[in-house]
Amino acid sequence: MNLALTSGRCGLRRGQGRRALSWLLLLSLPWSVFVASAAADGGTLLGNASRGLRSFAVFVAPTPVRVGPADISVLVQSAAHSEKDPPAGAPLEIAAWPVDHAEMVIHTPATPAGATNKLLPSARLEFNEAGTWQIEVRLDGLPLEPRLTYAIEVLPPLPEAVVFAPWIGWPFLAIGLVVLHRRRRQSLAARRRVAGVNSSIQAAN
Amino acid sequence: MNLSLWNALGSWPSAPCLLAGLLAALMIYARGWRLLRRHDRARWSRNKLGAFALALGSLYLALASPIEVFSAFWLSAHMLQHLLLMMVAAPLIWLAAPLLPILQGVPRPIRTVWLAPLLRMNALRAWAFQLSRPSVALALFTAVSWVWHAPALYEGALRWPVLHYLQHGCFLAAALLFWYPVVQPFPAARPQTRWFVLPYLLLADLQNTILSALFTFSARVFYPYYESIPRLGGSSALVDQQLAGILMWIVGSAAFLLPLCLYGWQLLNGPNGARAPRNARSTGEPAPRRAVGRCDQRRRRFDLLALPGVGPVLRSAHTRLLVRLLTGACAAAIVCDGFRGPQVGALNLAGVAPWIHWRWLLVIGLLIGGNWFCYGCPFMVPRALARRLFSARRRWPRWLANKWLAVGLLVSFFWAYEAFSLWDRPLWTAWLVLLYFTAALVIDSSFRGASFCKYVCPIGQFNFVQSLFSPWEVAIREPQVCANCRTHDCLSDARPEPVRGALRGCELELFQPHKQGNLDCTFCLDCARACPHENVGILLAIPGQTLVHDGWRSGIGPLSRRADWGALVMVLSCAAFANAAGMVAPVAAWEERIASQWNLPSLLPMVSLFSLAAMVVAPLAILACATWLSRRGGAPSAFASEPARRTATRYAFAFAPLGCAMWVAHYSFHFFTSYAAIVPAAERFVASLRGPAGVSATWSCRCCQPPGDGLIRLELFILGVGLLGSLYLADCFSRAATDPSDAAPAARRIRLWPWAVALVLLYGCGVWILLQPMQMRGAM
Repeated sequence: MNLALTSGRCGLRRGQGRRALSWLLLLSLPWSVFVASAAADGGTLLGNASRGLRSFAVFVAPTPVRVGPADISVLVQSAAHSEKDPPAGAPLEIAAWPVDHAEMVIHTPATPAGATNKLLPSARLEFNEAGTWQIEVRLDGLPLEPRLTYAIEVLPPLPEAVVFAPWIGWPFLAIGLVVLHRRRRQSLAARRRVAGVNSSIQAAN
Repeated sequence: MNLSLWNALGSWPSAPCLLAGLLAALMIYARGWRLLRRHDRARWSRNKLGAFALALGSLYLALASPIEVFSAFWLSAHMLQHLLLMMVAAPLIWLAAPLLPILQGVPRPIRTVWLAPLLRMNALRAWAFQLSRPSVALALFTAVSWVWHAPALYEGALRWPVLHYLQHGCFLAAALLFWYPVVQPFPAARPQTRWFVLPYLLLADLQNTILSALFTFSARVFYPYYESIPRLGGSSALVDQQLAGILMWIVGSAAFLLPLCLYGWQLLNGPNGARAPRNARSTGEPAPRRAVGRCDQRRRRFDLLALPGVGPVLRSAHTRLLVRLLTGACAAAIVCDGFRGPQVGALNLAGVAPWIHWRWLLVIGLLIGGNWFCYGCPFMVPRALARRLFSARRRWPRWLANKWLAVGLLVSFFWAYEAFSLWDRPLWTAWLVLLYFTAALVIDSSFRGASFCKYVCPIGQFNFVQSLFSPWEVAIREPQVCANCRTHDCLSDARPEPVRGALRGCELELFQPHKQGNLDCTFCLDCARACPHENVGILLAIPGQTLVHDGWRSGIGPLSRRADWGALVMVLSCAAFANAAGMVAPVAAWEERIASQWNLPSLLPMVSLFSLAAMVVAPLAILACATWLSRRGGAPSAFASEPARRTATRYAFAFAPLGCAMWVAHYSFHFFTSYAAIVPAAERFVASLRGPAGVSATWSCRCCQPPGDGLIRLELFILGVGLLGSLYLADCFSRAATDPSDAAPAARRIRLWPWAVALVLLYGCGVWILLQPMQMRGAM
């Protein structure tokens, strides 16, 4: 951008490029926050399979899955694409259990209500232990034939201090900016003082 | 509309940070635009503001709408997203000429210290000059468009979010560079000729046509990702790609060719046609007489009492009586249910309403609206009755005319709350409310003025301290009017003998012209009603600003000389942490472990010890250590001779924002996890009044909700705001305590450090507490 309001010198002096780069990096920080907030492309595709006349695509978020809540979304479509619309309101259910403890089954209905993409019914599951989990898609409360299962690896949870680090640490970023601001103001004031002294010496000469 | 389309249109992702950022940008722009418009209405037309709002709207639409959601499934949606960023948002941003409005809109320190030197930097100007040359901008725009559409990079962006953000950033930056020479927003330096715009746009359209033709006519899918995912709506990946190409072709061509036609028309219409409208002063108005930076004049503060309709209602004594009667009725219901209802906190109004809802509403109300609880305080109803029966002529004892009694009562109350689990004892809660009524009745029927409010009421003291951070204060409108006033009607004892029928002034001895902030102010508005000049209002104020200056204030004096006030603030701040810590599992387990190790018959001694340590020993220790360190380290100054007690008192007020934040965070937890608990408790209470035929309670509302990550984030954010407020106050106190002749900032820093460390440590404690599992309210 031609930010020069008037025609100024356009030559780069030694050292100025580095300073400009550091300024640009500093300014890019809020930009990165701004852009990063525009995420949400959905989860990772676990698998895509057909059962009868329907095809099922299962997505999981977040990636990687950790102990705690996770979203499982299912896209149900007509396998032959003969119908225009996917079957809406099909009573989908997601079941999950640890591979080592098959008796610890958790069921959650998948509905569009809680999903960002309303075409994908989503279920929020609470994984309470790390390890390999089996995920199964069920229709009308019954397993599909043949069963539609996927194995996912659930990692241990991150420490809460790490999960909430940005929320804990943001005041220190603000403090850092204030300190930087003060230093800069002081150096600007000092520079102005020196310039004033120099000009008065020149005027005296 | 069929269900699928309806669902698709309803798929809006949650992007609160993006929304907040865009709103902040709009506010900054609008502020600067308004200031600039005062001097040049023609240049800063409403169109510019509209263009900026539209630009931000298109950014939001591109990044946080169903387009974003479906861009993972459809290339055409992804293409639409990119077109919105590059062909809509970017030119609209430049049409709004945002440079000067944003410079004017940001706070002056940021403008003068950061932005102005940045814009003056030769290096940056050189870079900007080079990048905004039409040849460079066009080359960059073309390169970015083509490189990012290369299958390897595009696939990477689809699979890796970081690369995707980078892609969006590159597209927007390249588009901003590209459109800059075309729009040339004010105050850009204009080139001699504008003929270059025609080939410039034509070449851009040419490269866009080639790229879109590749997408439209290709027989193979460029991005295998779209083949690997399930196809929504049945269309194949190839058809989707062709649709994306057509979109790019049509929208891109329209975006390039329409301005091209417009410029061509202007150029054909005369030699000055292309440069006439934007840069020249179109109306021939004279140049602004004042510099723009000085144009924000001192304005009158916003006055709530001056609002038509609202002011008279608030000022009316009948309104106040009505509010008091309503709160009195609530208190009566709590007392009644506390005595008669089931003695289980979660089932009883006395166990739910005061300890979940009222506390949160009180503290939020204080921060948003001011001390309105004291305005509608139910304890004042019996007091008013007692005053009619008894003549309260005695003066409050001089030795008790301070806050020490209230400090002791507050410590006792918080201790009792922890030690006897008051939230789970409806009967005790009912007795507590009755005790309050009795105390108010006895004290105010015996002593003149509002002695109970000023010196005794623990809730009132809590309100006084927290309402320091309210954006409203009862204050005078015009100082000149008060300077000429001789009657001082705003004080209750201004007249030696009460005049029948005359309106009563402030009973808390706050003389309005010398009143600062909300300390000791009950928002009763007696002063506003008594002032014959109608010079008292509820004015907008910067929260906490009155603490910065340690001047003499009416009814209180200088804060640094009021150790009782300092103790009150410290106790309330530390009690916020102690009260929350008493609810978390590790502290409870620790108390139980120690009690069992010491063979104590109950937890009471441990809880008492903990309360004493947290609310008495800890504040004293913090004040003593930090005072000693700050006085020892600081360079000699004119203030070095002040007593240590005064230093400690001054800095004690710096803890108030952090304490207030902790109260809000703690009470928010209980409120947001258990707010529904009031429904069955109220239903059961109403049913008990009606007898057996009453409605049955919906006990499904009883159970608490688990705290989500959002609630914890909110709590941490509030605590962070409190820390910053506290550090700001401590810094202000350090500046005030530094000799003005002392030019070196080192002395100030040394004075500040111990207090800053203490505040950060307290913040760390708060973070730890908030991250622990906390006991629920309203649970069985």
